[in-house]
Amino acid sequence: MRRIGEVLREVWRRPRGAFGLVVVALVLLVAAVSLVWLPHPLLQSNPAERWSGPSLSHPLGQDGIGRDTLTWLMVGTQATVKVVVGSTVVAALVGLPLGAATALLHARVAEPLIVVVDILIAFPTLLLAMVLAAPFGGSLGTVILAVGFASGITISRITRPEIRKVAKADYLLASRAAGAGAVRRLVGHILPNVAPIALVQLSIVAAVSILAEAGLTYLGYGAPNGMPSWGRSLSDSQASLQVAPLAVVWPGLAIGLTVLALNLLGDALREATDPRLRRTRQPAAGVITGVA
Amino acid sequence: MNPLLEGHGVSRDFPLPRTRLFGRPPVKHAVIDADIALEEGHTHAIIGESGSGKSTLIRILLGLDFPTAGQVVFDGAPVRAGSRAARAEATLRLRRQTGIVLQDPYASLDPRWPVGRIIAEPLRALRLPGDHHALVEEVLDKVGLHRWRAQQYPHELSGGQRQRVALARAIVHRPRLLVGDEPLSALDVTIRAQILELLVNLAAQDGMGMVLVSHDIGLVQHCANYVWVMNAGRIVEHGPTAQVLLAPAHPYTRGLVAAVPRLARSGT
Repeated sequence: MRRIGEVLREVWRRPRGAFGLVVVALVLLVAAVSLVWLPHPLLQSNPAERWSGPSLSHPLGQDGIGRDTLTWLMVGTQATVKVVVGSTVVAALVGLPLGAATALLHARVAEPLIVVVDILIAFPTLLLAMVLAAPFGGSLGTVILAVGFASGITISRITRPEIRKVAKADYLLASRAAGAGAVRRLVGHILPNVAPIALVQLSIVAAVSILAEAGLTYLGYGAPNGMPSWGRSLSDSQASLQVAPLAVVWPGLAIGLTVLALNLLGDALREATDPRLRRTRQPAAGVITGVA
Repeated sequence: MNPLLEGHGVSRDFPLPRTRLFGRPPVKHAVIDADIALEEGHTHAIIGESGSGKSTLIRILLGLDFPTAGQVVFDGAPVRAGSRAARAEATLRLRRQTGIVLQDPYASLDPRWPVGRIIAEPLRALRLPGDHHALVEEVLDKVGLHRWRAQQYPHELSGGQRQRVALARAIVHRPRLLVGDEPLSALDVTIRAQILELLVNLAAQDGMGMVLVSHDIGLVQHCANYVWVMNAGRIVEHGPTAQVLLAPAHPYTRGLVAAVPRLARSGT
């Protein structure tokens, strides 16, 4: 679509957006490459070289049982991509319809929903994940559902007043007078005008989901033992912080950079989708003087 | 001539916030038992002070709000009667024949839509045939905007230009009745005359009926030929402009006319 290309160009024009795009592209690239090529076999370990530092054949060193850190980090990227995409999609699917419903439906339906949302907001994400993990066991799916659902509830709470504000705007009245039905108004006017808030919130969800995966894995409710993930690498190496301080830096750096990039990307996206913040498009001077 | 748009006994109550835990919440009677008939080819004015119910009444007539009692009749057929499908059909017919310009041009245009798309909205939403692009360019000419403005966004336009866009959207589908809900109140005094002239000329050119909702008596005197006076939700007086404004029968109208500020003439 032309519109998506236009928005990406606007994002690219901003330093924050460009940084975000580059890091996100890099993460995706690494995840894709790790599917077909790895510097060392995943399970190859050499206990004699435990916690050895960076070398030519192991650029990021080796972990506590002599496995290649770079290899594990690369494969861990797959888990990160799954968690980020999954949580964001779940959060959007839960949050936006719920926000629209609580904002636009008749008070008799909306008010009970609002009470339920307020109660659910009181649940910490971690607690929710533990409740989910009890019957289903720890897995990436648990992380995705817990983070996505809990963030979705928050998003609905944040978008609700914004949707209400837009729904009451004069241009929606004008749109109704122009003959636009409910769906046309929702898709054409309300969603685009709520998009900046929603985009920023979803980019925060994307960033938080990486941290949540690390946290939940650390608690044993995230990626199962033996599955490479940044959270797993972090929690494994953290125990030996005093022996091998460098080992904890790599997953930490990967998590930190990606979280930062997603936040900046969200911010740039918000600006890029707002015509008021774009560079004003005036016709070239020649067009006007050419007429005269 | 048969009236195009009529209201029979139209009332609208708005519920107010509860003041007591038990018992009914109080209501505001915004419009009370209003009978009104708007003819094609005439310029009507609905006047009254702020909060007199004139905007609510015109919104009900245009199907943008619903009456709590009474009936709206468009082109001889009741709008809110019969099955769901029949109502939708009647509303669609009403929308195809009416256009509205709202008061505040800074609020009535979607900031995320380019001007061309804003103007074309009635054409698309009402599924009207024809070359929409050409119709938009034609109407841009009519309201005195350059064609390249279709690519601009509302924030790139001035207040007067925005109101021209709102006007273009209201007439692009060639309605029989153009409604202005205080269309000049939010504009600069210098711009008002231009937009008013444009409104009057366009209505005359296409033989459109026009309804001006306003509290500006000077404006009404200048361009309306039939006046409806509202006070506290009721229509208190109506008739040809000259008759109502020169010899008002109702005390409220008398007060309204007397309140018009006049510059003292000095010298002669």
